[in-house]
Amino acid sequence: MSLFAPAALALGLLALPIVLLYMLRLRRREQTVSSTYLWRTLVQDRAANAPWQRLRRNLLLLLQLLILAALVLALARPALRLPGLGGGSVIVLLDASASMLATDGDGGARFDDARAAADRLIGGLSGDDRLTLIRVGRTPAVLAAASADRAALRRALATAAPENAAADWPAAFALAAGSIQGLSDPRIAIISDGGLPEGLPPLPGEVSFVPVGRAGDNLTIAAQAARPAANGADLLVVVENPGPAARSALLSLTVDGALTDSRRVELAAGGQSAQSWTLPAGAGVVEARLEPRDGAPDYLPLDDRAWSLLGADDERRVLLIGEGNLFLERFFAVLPGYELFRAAPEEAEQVAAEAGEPFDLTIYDGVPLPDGPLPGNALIFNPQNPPADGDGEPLLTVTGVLSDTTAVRVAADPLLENVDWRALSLAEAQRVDAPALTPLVEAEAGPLLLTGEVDGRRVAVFTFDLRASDLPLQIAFPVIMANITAWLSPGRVIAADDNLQPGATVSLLPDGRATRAVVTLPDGSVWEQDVAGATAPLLFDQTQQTGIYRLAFLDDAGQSRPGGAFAVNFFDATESRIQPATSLRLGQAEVAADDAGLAGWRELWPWLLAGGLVVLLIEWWMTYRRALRRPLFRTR
Amino acid sequence: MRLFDDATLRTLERLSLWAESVRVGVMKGDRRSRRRGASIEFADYRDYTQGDDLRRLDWNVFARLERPFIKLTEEQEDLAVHLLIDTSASMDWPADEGDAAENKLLYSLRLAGALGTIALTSGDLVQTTLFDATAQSSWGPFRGRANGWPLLQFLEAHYAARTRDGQANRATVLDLALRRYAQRARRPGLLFLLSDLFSPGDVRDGLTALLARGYEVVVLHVLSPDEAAPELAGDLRLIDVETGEAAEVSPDPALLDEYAARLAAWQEELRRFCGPRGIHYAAVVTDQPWDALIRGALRQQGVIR
Repeated sequence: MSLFAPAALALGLLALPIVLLYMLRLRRREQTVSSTYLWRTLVQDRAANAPWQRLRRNLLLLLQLLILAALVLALARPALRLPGLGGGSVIVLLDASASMLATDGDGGARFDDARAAADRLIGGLSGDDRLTLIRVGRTPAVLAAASADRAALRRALATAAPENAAADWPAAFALAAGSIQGLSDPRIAIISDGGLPEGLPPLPGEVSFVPVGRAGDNLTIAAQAARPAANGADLLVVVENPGPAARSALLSLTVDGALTDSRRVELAAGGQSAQSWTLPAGAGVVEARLEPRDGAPDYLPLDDRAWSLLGADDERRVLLIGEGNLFLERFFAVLPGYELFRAAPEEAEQVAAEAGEPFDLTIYDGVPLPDGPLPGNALIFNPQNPPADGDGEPLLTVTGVLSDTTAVRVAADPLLENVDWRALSLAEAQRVDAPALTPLVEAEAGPLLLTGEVDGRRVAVFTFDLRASDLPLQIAFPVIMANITAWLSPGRVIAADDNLQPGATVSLLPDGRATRAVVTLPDGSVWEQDVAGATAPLLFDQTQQTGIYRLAFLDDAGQSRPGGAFAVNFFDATESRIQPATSLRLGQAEVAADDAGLAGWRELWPWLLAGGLVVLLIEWWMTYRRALRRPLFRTR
Repeated sequence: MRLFDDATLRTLERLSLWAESVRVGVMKGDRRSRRRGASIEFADYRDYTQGDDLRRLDWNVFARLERPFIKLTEEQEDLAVHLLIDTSASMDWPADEGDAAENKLLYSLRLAGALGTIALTSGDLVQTTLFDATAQSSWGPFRGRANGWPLLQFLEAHYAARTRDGQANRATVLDLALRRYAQRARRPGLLFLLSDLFSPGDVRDGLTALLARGYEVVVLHVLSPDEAAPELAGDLRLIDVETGEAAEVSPDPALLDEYAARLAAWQEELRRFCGPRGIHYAAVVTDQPWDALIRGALRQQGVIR
């Protein structure tokens, strides 16, 4: 108990005048009566219980002193430190990061303890207290905003669940700071096991840290990477022991479902160990698994497995239709992941039919474009008009030849990044009319490079013959070719790099024929999306689980074609370090863990005031009780 | 100050006092006696026995029946009526002139005047005594209707005199006064004691002494309304107007209830003492009309017919 205004206790001296007045008042009034005969016998009887009489006589004085004490104490503003909120507005930041999945050996996850702590805070709400509940996950979310409704808060709390991802604390702090705006005397409770990043901004208001978690024993695969090698692939796996004691573990490698190797690794406290393998060519899915071998626990299983996909990017196949182009052939020969097929114009249909699957990219090098829609994404050099008997709408029309080929307008497009067009020299270019395409580079008289999407196909058109320019000799050539090739044949899964973390969003780009995209999640569940007619990439964000995700496309005929796969791994050193923190550093301030849970000052003056009022009513009743029953004293 | 108006006096003259046990009239009175006597009122016949007064032989009956019969007539006797009025300071209460109607002394004097008038009208011998601790003043004994007026004058004079004397410390030891009165009595009779009985000592001893001398006693216990139900509040130091003694009390409803219970118990105790001994006891509060008392309570007691 503390007093916020102890100086008010000096008012307790008012008790002295009250006692003095009371003593004066107790001087008896003399009253003449005909006889004291009966009174005397009464007084004699009453003398037997005189102490009680004295007390009763002094009861009014006691009550008055009690009222004074209550008022003086109320003015002194006593307050009790109680578990709970202590009134006012509280923002609760509930850590829902991956480390909250740690079990600490008692079965339940840390997040259950965190939820229980939040529930206690909700239970401690009273009166006008308001609680804002923010779940701090990969994307912080306000579950309940400034609510005093315990049932609603508990419902919101029940929906909170931890994620297999690191928490975005800066965003959560920004959200909390925004929620605080306009609140008087706000308080912020961070329910977490620590693991907050460095350099967080200080928060306005009083910040409390409610720690959860007890143990720090964990083994983790900190990183895993595979890269193609001359004959197969190299795999690097880094294991780490973020726990407080030296550990011994078994690292097992599974390639395409078959156990390939197991190694025992000894890890000092906080130590790392890098293991590498050379995998044979043709290896597909590689899974590394880390298991403790010393009997000690591993409280966070999430980071004990990692996956890599080797050869996941199937060679993309490119069909070059033309008389042969040394520059293009050399380019695709050195560009990894691409396989070039050549065909003379008259053989083109035959080659395509023999290939079975459609080509990812078709290059028309100085040959007439096919009549009707293009079979797929196309890269066109030195375009020629299609045969005159075609009845379809042509993609472009060649109307003549440009001789003034100095580039005068270069669009600010990512495709042109790091490309210097000023040094380009051209003998001539075709004058084309292609309303469906967007010119990226234009000369005075017409476009030199156009791109666009037509009927779900991406098209890029160089209006000149490579051999009639010095572009292939410039450093810009491989750059722009790499940009355009990547744009034209982006593969099935965009951003499917080796560093996909749980919760990441993956862009899927179905080809023109797909009507439905199907993703099989690591646990076997299936996510489907209708993609017929879609031109924009498909965003897939159901990546909470770690493991291999497989994509397939269904076409009109219901035929399924594999669209590739990607791996989602949990690599986060901060989250893997599950040792609970004892304090948080926010700005310059160190917030120590409040083991007793959040405690708040609850002021007692309203109760004292109410108590004083009750005593006042009792005193009034005692004083005027006679008057209520009998006429007032009659003077004689 | 007049005690009665004329109409009240005429009412009183129609009443008479009646004593159960007190006899022996010295003088012939207007009162019928249970004894057969020599008056002219015929009562009965009886056979002559030797020694009877021949003057009372009914000669007419003897002539007709030739048997001697003695004619019995009703005895007429007078009654000695004693009026004892406590004039101590406690009786002169309430002291306010505004409450004079409820003043116990005035009330008692009125009552005594009424009883005296009734007795004188009936031809009884009336002796009135006003007493307190120090002084005793008497009127009578007198007989006869003509003395009614002097009696009232005596009483009125006393009441006027006490106003002049002021609140002299007139304490009374009632017990002593009654015993002294009993010793001096020359002719016991019907005795009315008008007092508030607020007195040190046991009044019962005095009453016993009176009974022993053959008095038939009527105790009229006179209290003022503020004695029967006091309206006091606060922390008080009560001063006894008669003795000057003080009692410190803080009356509250509980205490006042206790006072009422104590008063009732006291009166009940007196009533239980008086009943078996043939003493008539009547508690009187002065806000009750005195004539109603005479026509009501005293008639019920058989003291007045």
